[in-house]
Amino acid sequence: MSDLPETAEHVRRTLRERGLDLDDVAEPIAPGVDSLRARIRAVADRLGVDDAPRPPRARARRS
Amino acid sequence: MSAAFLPAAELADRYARRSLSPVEVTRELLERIDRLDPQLRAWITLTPERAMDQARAAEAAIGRGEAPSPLCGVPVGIKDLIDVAGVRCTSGSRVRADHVPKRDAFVVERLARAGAVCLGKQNLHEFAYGVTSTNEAFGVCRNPWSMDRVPGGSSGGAGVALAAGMTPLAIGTDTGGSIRIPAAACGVVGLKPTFGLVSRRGVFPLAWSLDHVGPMARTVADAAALLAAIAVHDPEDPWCAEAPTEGFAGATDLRGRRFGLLGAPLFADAEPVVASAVEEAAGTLESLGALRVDLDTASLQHAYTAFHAMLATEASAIHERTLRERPREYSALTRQALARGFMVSAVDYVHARREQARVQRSLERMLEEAEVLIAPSLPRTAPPIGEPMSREPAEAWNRWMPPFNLSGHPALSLPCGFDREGLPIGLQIVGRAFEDGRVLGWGAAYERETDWNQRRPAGFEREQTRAVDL
Repeated sequence: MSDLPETAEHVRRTLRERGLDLDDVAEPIAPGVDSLRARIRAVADRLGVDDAPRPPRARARRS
Repeated sequence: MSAAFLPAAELADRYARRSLSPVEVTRELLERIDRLDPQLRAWITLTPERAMDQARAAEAAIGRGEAPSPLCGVPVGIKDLIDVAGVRCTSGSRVRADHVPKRDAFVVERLARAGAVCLGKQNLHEFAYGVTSTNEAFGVCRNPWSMDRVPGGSSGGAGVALAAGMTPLAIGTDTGGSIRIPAAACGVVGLKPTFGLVSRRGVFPLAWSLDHVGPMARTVADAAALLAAIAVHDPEDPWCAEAPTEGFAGATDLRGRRFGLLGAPLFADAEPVVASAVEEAAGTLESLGALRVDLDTASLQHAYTAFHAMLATEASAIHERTLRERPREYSALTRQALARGFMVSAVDYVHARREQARVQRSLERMLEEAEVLIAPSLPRTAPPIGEPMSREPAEAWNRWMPPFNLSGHPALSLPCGFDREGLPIGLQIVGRAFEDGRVLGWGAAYERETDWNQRRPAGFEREQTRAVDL
């Protein structure tokens, strides 16, 4: 909770930089943004460099 | 008798025997919609003139012995983010309330060619970006099994219309469960086909990497017939595969065939009534001679995170311009969801795509051990309208569906029971890529052994209309 106001401010600033007038959503989405980014970081940490992506469409067509 | 709850296959049979007429059935269903929809809000735009014209043409074709397909004269509803030429296509949002496409979507073209009757455009969660179909702009969609519950979404109008006997067939879309969620919550059948099997031309996107178009119906056989009509290669859709498009009525003899029951840690916290319904379904499959394999799902645990990152960023890219120009025309919740996508970096998106590949490989390995995988569709039955919906992986209502949007494997939801309040429970059956017919075969075998799809929401079965027997 301690860094929540900072995250909300970060959300607000990022959206403004893209020209988006969405100040009203910065506060409500901040916790979700925090959680999503932390989860993606955890996913990235699990992936090795050899876990290269294979396009789903190409694989599906082969089968 | 009323045609309200007759399956498409029976309508076709009765048309051929001249005991029912497409014109009378279409008229009956349009009248039924007029009467029921002010409460249920399953439809955004009806197309009665087009429907009656198509019904008359179908009737004439049948009379000449020239019905082009088993769907000739059979009514169908279209999710209102799929284009029908000359009919407004709102995507469930004020942002596109006045959008009128000039050309039919590929699937709509295919249905017209099959002789199906388009009743109109069905309600959905705004821009398909949500799972409740609580639509601020076009009406709150209500679940016929309990009017204070959500029908699921985003193809909620389709689920409601099927459950309430307003149409025997519907076309939905599924990016993170949007066909299977309303199918499960409304006690009907919905198939997310293999990624690339059905063209998405003329369908407003939610997330290009995850979107699928597919059939919804009250029986597996009807879903298979609808899939057969729309699963044709579309050279104008670069994502549409050149795959076999016949044989969707898969084999129903399950003797000696393997299914995998997806278990812990991912599929571990269903409500007890849901868990026991799925366990019973597994028992039914075994009683038909199928062999059960229990599968660990540790490798799928991060699928929802990868899905969420991809969905959020792709949806935000699609909406960036209109969000900048007309942000207040979006509902507050959609605005929030779209804003979230701008907070995911390109590097994070690439990690999500890599996790997608990992999830796909993992599911392919499981599908080497078993011909199909089964799991609950949803961890709980339909929640009350207005209950906040979480997007956290451990809490999201749809959390057991996105792994198959990531992987592209075909995934079917069909009814497998009811809770104590009489709300439907859904069973998910997942198969190998482009083996949609095999998945439907397993579903048909299960459906034949049970009577879940014969039950109707209280009050709606008694809601009969005038006789249409000719």
